[in-house]
Amino acid sequence: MEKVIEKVSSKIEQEIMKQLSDAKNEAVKLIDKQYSQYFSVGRSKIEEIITKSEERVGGEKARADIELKISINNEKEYWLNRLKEELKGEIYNKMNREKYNETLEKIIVNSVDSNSVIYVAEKDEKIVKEILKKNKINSKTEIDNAIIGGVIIYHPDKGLRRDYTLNLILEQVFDSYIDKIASKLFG
Amino acid sequence: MSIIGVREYSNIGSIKGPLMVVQGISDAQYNELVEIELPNGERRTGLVIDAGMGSAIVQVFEGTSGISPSGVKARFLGRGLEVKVSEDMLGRIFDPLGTPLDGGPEIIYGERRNINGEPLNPAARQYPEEFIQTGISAIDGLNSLLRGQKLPIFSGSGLPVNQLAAQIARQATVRGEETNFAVVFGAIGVRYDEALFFRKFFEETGAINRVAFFLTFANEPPVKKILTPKTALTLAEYLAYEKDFHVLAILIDMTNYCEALREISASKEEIPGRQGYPGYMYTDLAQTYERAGIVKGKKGSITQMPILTMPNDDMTHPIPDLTGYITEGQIVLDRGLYNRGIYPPINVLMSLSRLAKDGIGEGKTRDDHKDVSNQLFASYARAIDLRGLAAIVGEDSLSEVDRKYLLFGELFERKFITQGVTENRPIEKTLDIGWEVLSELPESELTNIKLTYIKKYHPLYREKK
Repeated sequence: MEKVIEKVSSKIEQEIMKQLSDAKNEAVKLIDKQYSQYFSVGRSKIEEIITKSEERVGGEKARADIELKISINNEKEYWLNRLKEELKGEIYNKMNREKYNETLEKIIVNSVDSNSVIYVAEKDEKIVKEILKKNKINSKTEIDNAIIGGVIIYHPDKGLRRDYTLNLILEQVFDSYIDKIASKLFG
Repeated sequence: MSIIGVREYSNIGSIKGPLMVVQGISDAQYNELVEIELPNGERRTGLVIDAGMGSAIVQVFEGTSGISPSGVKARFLGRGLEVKVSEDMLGRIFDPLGTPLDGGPEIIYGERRNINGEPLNPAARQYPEEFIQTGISAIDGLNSLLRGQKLPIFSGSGLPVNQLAAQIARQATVRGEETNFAVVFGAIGVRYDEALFFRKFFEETGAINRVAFFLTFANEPPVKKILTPKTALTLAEYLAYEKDFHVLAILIDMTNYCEALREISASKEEIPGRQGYPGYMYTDLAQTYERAGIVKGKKGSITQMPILTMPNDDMTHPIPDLTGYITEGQIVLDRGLYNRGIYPPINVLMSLSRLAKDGIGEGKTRDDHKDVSNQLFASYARAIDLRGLAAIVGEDSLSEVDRKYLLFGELFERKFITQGVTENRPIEKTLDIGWEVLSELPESELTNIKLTYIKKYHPLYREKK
């Protein structure tokens, strides 16, 4: 009888232990699963914060890069404009006088008629009048001190002005060569 | 460079709308640039659009309001409309004439290019085969964009296409060549708050230094608006074919462009075509859209994503209709999806990328891409059909499998299509999400996917591994 009781007790004990062990395993699994979920949510939140911060830093850096680029280019533009102004003052004096006068004459002979008005700088008025006299062209001249060199020919009957000034040539040439000038100045 | 005497005329015959007739000129060149000086010293720019013996018609970009026939001088500059283009334009904002709008200086280094560009030699074109990752699952997964492709977005009034365009501009990249990627953004006739949105978005997300922005506002003259895509694409061509960049050109909104074209055509008293749009609108759009592609021997490329708003959500309207003939597919935004809070509201069933199949798969994206894409499309199409059926007979009358398709449809929209404005999904994540939603369906329904891929990528088999 005792042996039977012992056997049954032992069996029951084993059963209980097994169930407790199963319950424990299930509990561990549930905890693991919950932990993984919380870990995953927490991790993705942290990653989101990191990504947003990286983005914010990236944004600030990009903005700073652009502002720096604009500042540098502003500075370069200032010096290029300074150079252009200096050139305006110097270009007339550096011209080959003979070639300059020849070109003036060609322009006047080809473009001027008796109704034209020639706008010229004060320093060139004398040479233009000589050219007109030499070629027997009866045209008026007017002083325009904004002109560095060359002439503007105005045909009032056609409403047409033709610009042959050094101002325009300098503007166009400077604009075309600005890359090379900037490379020489700033590297 | 040839220097010719600049001709200045003061005989203005008449002014009509944006057009000015200059009399007494017989040597004006077609498309010659003109500078107009008003008596108060203000200067405007224009272009010769008609040249005859004794007169020339000039289209004034800034409009003709305030211009009277007397006291105005028109200076013909002897050259076409050229813009200086340069890598320095990245990170900056310009108008279509190349004038900075961000308070910065003019471009110093660069090359002058005619904004009308040169047509590409068709024999020199290379077929697009390389995948561009936009980071948006609905595009990357099912309507993949390839380098050199033209893929427009068809939107409707009030839909969040600005956010989508800005997100694509920020996220798009050619995998493995991230440093050589640039975006040229042409905003045509946009509102001030829209322009501000784009600028802030690019600045805050750090994308600003790879984006060149060309901008015209809604209240600017139509002749200036139509220059915007031309200038943007001129820079794109320079960056792509001279500097070896992979350029994504986003043009928003082509509807504003076509409306401006219609306005100008009406002022020129041209015979109108369909719905009042000019008869040459197809050619004009083609000239814009065809400035994209890959050229043999050149490392760079231009990919175009023009964006247009369909008036009344009507896809048969001339603008989307003609665009569809020229471009290689379309991404369609859906109002129903938007009303249900789905962003981006891309209707994948109406969208199509005709070149996608050539740029996805093994060695390009992932080996299962094609099969997953086909399966998602087929399953979603069935889900939509079943929604209609469920509305009539009730969901309870559907079979078990059909109910799973309904659930799949919901998950597809909520997990695959829906994503955040700043969420950038690599293609692998897009495909994994695709597998996740497909796993709701019984394996026997995945008839478009090879068994090897199911065993390799299906979540059930992955978990077991």
